[in-house]
Amino acid sequence: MNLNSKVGLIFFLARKGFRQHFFASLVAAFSIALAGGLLLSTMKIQKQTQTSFNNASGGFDAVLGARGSKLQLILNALFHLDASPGNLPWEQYELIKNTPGVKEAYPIAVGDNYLGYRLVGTDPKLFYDHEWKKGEKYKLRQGRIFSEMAKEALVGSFVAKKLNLKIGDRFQPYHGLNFKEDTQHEDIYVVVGLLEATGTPSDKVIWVPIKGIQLMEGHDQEMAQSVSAVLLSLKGAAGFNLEIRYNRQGNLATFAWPVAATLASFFDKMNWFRGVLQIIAYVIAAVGVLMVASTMHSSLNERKRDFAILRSLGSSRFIVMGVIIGHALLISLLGTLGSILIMQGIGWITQTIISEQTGVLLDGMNLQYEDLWLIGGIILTGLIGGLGAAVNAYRSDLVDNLQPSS
Amino acid sequence: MTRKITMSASSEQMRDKDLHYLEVRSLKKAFSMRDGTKLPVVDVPNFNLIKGQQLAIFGKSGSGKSTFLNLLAGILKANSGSIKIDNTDLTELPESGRDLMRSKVMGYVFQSFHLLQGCTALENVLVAMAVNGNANEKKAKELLSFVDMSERENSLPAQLSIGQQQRVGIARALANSPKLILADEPTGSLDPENASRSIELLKSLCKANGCALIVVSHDPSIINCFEHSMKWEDLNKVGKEDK
Repeated sequence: MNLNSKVGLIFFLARKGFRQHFFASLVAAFSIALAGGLLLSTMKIQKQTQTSFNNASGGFDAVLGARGSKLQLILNALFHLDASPGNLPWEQYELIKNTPGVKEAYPIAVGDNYLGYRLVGTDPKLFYDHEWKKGEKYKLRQGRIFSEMAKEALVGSFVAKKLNLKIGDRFQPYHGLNFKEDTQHEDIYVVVGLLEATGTPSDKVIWVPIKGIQLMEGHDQEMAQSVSAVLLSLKGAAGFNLEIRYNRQGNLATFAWPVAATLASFFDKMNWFRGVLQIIAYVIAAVGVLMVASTMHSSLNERKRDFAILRSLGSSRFIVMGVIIGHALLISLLGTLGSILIMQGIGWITQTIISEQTGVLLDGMNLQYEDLWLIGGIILTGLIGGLGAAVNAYRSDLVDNLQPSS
Repeated sequence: MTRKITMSASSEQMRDKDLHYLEVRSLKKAFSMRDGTKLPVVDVPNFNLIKGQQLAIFGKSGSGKSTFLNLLAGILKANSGSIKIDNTDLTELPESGRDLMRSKVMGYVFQSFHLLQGCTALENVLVAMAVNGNANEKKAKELLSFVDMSERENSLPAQLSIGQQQRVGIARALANSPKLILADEPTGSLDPENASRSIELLKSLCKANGCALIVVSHDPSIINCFEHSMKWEDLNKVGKEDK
């Protein structure tokens, strides 16, 4: 460190102060880290989750399903969560498939599982033609896509890994969306293909021909002529027209469109939780400021003699003030580093939980330019804590602390 | 033992104004008391020191010697009067100017325990240099070797004896090659043997560096070590007009 520059001298002495009050400085830094980490995490996780869920909608613009909640329909049909709101007659699928402006329409049928993982029946064309992300079609890691009329399964990457399913494995599905041992169907399916990971909910699904679900042993006859939902890609103004046709004029089905807006309203409903976490973070931040203030005041009290000596050596009041601010800055920087580590830790845990529960892979929790203001805020928080002590140091009378002996 | 009590106004040695490194004229300092009254502490009508001169001022504890030294160092601001150091009037400088002056031309030696506690002996000397923008590790080590502290240069003050701390204090006072060293009770915490050794060391280093020295002490025995010495009560006129 270059002691000959004023900044070098200030940070040399600030570092000494940090070492002299190591434990208190560390506790103050930790409280800042905790507050900063919590704030960064809540903001980033919410944003990343919303973005990732929007990106994980499988390349579909809308879902047509039974009359009910749009959100439930989307969660069930695209994210394979929640219960199905009911079934639609097969004719409705045929009708919408042939509607002008509908680019793609894939029927899905749900209602069975294998060891807790959903079986979703659909048209094999989904895996040949559909782009689940712009320019990205489903890829096979191994095997082939199931045949339309066979009892064959194409397994998502997450399920294949969890259940250790391989090509040629046979299994008997269970009835219902949740696994119950005594509800096993007699139908035997064979695994013919394994999908590459997409980071979307389709990784958590066992895909089978739609006829397989419709005609599964034990299902009632009505199901053979119905679908759980229709996944849609649209073009032009089809969305507006279909919205009017199904949601405002008709009462046979629900048209959930646009997917992103419905999801956004879902995340808006969860804002209270974010708000609570942010209030907790602000409280911790206030504690952090007080911790820094307390550390800096005790440091100042113990180092009054040191500062007086510095002044007697010819240091200006600004240097002494700078040493206190430098100490607070070191605490803040350590706290900021801790914030980032805590954010990464919380992010990793959240990523794992969301991925396990939904199959949606959150993007990395890396810092971006837009987070810099928050980082600056965390550093400023620590500095505010040191400001009072710095002003006191600036004002303190040199002679009082030198205690002349005569 | 013959001692030469030096009062600048009466000293033939100091008549030549050009030789005066330090000139004090009509210097007064009083402290405000809680009841609003003023307590006069320093009233020095005339005091000079020539370049390289070494002088001991002795007097009772609490009589204002340290205050006088703090005025000379620019740590305290006088109520009236002037302090000229090398023809620069310290009393006309703002605080920042006095700080600068202190770092460039003065060294201060305190009674013991006045080292930076978190810094090693070497760092204490280096910090004093750094305040003047002149940190030089080689020179700092050299200064510590002058005071026989080379082997303890990496020790913290708490790991040093009082005498050793005082020697580091002396090395630090010389860090910026000052022209004037002010020493406030430099032997106050030392046993007689160490006290005498410290004073001799301070004197010899000042002489080697061409540096003037003012030592204030309540210990009259200190005058034995100096060619020039004076009684504080003779210099300070506080209360004398009333008698």
